[in-house]
Amino acid sequence: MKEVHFTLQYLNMFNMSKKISSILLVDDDTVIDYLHKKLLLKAGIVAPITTLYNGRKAIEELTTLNNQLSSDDCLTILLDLNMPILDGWGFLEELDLIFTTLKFKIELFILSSSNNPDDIIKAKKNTYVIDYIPKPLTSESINKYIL
Amino acid sequence: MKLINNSTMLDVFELVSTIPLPVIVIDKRFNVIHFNPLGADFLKISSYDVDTLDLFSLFPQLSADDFQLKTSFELKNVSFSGINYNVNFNYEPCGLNEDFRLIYVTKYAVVQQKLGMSEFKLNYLKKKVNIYDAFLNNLKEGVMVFNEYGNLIYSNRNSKSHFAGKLGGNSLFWELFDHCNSQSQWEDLKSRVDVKREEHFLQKIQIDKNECIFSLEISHKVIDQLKYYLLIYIDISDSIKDKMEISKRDSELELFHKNNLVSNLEFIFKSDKTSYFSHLSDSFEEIFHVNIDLNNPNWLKTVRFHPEDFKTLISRLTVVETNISDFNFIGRLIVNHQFVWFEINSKIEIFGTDLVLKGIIKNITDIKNKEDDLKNKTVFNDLVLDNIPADIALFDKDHNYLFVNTNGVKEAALRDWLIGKNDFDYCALKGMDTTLAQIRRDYFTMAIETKQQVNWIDKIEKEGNINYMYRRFFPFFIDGFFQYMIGYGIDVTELKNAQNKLDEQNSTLLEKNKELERFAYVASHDLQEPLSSIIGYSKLFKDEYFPTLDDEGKLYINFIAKSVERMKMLISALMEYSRIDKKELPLQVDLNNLLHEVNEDLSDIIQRHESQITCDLLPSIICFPSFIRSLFQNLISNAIKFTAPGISPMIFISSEEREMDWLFKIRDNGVGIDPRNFEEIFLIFKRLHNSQDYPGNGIGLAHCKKIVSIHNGNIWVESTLNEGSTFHFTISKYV
Repeated sequence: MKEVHFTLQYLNMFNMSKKISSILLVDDDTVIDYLHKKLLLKAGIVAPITTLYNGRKAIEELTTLNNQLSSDDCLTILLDLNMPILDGWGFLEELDLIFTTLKFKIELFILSSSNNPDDIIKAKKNTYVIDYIPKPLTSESINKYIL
Repeated sequence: MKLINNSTMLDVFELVSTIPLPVIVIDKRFNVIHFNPLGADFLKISSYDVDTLDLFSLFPQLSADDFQLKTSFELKNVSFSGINYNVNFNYEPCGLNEDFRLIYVTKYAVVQQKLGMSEFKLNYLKKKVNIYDAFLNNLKEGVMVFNEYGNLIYSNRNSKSHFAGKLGGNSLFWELFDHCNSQSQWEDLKSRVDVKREEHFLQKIQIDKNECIFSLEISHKVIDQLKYYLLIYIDISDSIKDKMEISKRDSELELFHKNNLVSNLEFIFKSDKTSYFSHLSDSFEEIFHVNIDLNNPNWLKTVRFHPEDFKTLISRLTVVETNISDFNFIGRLIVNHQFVWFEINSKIEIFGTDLVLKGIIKNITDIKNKEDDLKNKTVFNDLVLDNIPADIALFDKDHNYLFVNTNGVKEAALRDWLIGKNDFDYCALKGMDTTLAQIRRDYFTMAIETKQQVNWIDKIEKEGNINYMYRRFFPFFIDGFFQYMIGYGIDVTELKNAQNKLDEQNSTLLEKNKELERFAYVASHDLQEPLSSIIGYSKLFKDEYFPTLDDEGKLYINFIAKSVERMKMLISALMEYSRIDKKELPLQVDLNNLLHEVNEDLSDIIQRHESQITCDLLPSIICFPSFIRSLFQNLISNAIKFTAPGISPMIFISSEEREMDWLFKIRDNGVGIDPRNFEEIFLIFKRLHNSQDYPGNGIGLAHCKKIVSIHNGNIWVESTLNEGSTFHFTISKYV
């Protein structure tokens, strides 16, 4: 199951005209969230951008979105690591449990201020993580990864 | 059968020569015609005498008439050539020739001469013989006579008793004596004796369980043309025994003297307290290397006697009132400025007013020296044992004390009491709990069974304090047999306490370190977050509002952005610094490969500055690869960075293997470092230059220092301003 998903992600990367249906910003820092939202809008994103303050809320959102989105839809998630209640790693674990129930596609990036190489390696190893983007988001990094 | 009557004489002669008996051929008139070779032998006549011989001249006691009566004759005392024979013969007609008769001698034997003498002469002779007999039989010597054939024909009484049982009817010389073993040796002996007149030899004889030695002399005598051999011997056993005893005593004495360096002495001590030596053996000078004048009251002038010892001797002699059988004295002579110890074993006899001391004097210097050495050694050993700050005890196989030193048990009485007893007895005496004693017993048993030493630490609570004793049992075996057990005990309380303290401090340190690291990590991590915000917003601000700002405003926002960037870099560096630690196991790394990678990573700045990096063949070492990589990277980039503008950096990297570590040198031709700064540069954030001149955050060398320290090494610099610097660092072989 996971292998198939990885291939899909890989294909998505080469899909230039992909449709971003929605973006989730999962971060407890409201200041950063505002910045990121601003930058994304400046980059030309029209899809709805939702901020969630911890992993638990993010998981709940996914379940809610499952009723709204279809298999054509692609959800971009920008995930911070350090969050209360359920942090980035916890979110990934829970995602693994519900992934098969989700109808839509997911593109997940870890967005973190940590430049600890261990974290970076661990992040990149995760099946659901496409890549690791250092905070803060910049227009360059948005162009490189998200668009 | 009737033979031919007319056989010739020759035929007859031929016939009789074949007969194996003496045969005489006679005619009818009893003239001797012929005899065969055996007959000639018997009669001791050669054939030339035959013409004038008749039978009756040979056998005078016969007459012709006798031959009418019988044919078989036994004659006594027939004499031929002065020897008497008893002869048996047969008389027969000769079958070949009726004129001849044959005499066959069937038997003949020599008869002893019978001397015809008067009865008076006979009695006289008998008396004489009896006297001689008595004489011979009372001799202490043994007398034996042998004939030329070796037969014993006479032995006197003594010899009869000496050889009791051995003298048979016809004893032969070589059966009785070892001097000859056979008849042929007897013949040799005879010929020797015939020439030499007599021969002496010795013979050992076993008589009544005693071994006796005889000295024998054999000589030959000829009586009436007959050879006799006279053997006279005496028993020399006693004298031999004495001789042997004497020689034994002599050799014993010689040996004694040789080994004991003894001289006989006789010393006279007079009532007026003067004295002199009346006798000293010749060996005295050899033994003592000094000569004492005999019979000289001023003998003290010739040899120095230790004054104290002399005084003692005089005082002892002065109180002698009766004979003493056992007087011993030990003193010193002074010879050639050295003490010579002597011992006198003697007896004292009183003659009037004089004391006579007779005995032996020996040189006991060697013994004394050995004793002194031993005493010194013992004193030394005791001193050592009693002053060692450790308990030392010796045990037998049953764990009973054979010895314990002062440190082990302070009271001498208790020490003495302890000999032969064990720890349990001690506990019983002191009313102590036997737990420790049992523990010791168990270790004791283990040491004996494993035949190896056992060590352990006793924890003893005494008066509220805890003491630690390091104890050892060492079993001592010789050739696999247990001799004794050596027990050691050393108070290691201080040591243990120090160690405990150290352990405590260490774990505290470790904890603090961990805390610090966590602190550094968390701090820098948490600082990153707001930092990211500032960076983000200042960028955004710049993007959106830059044109609206005046020059001042533009300047401010630029400064903000720069500061924030710098802060990010610092925090990044700090985080990296805190992460330098031994997390995983070190690996074997080929430094040549590693350096190659570093140069590739730095290829950009290497090329930009047209730098030249020369490097020796580097070893393959055990280390933490990522950190070592960082190390080289830092040092090389520093070398390139801190070069005067316009100059191509030239960097030399070398390595050297040392006993305990590897030494690396990185030499550059850069701007150099002031010696005052040699230590400071390794401090975190310490910079020697302004950012305008040389950029950097000042953390590189602090990194290097930390990396080197987790490899148990050191880093230092040698440098001359404007010429260049050489950075040295060591990586331990035992990381």
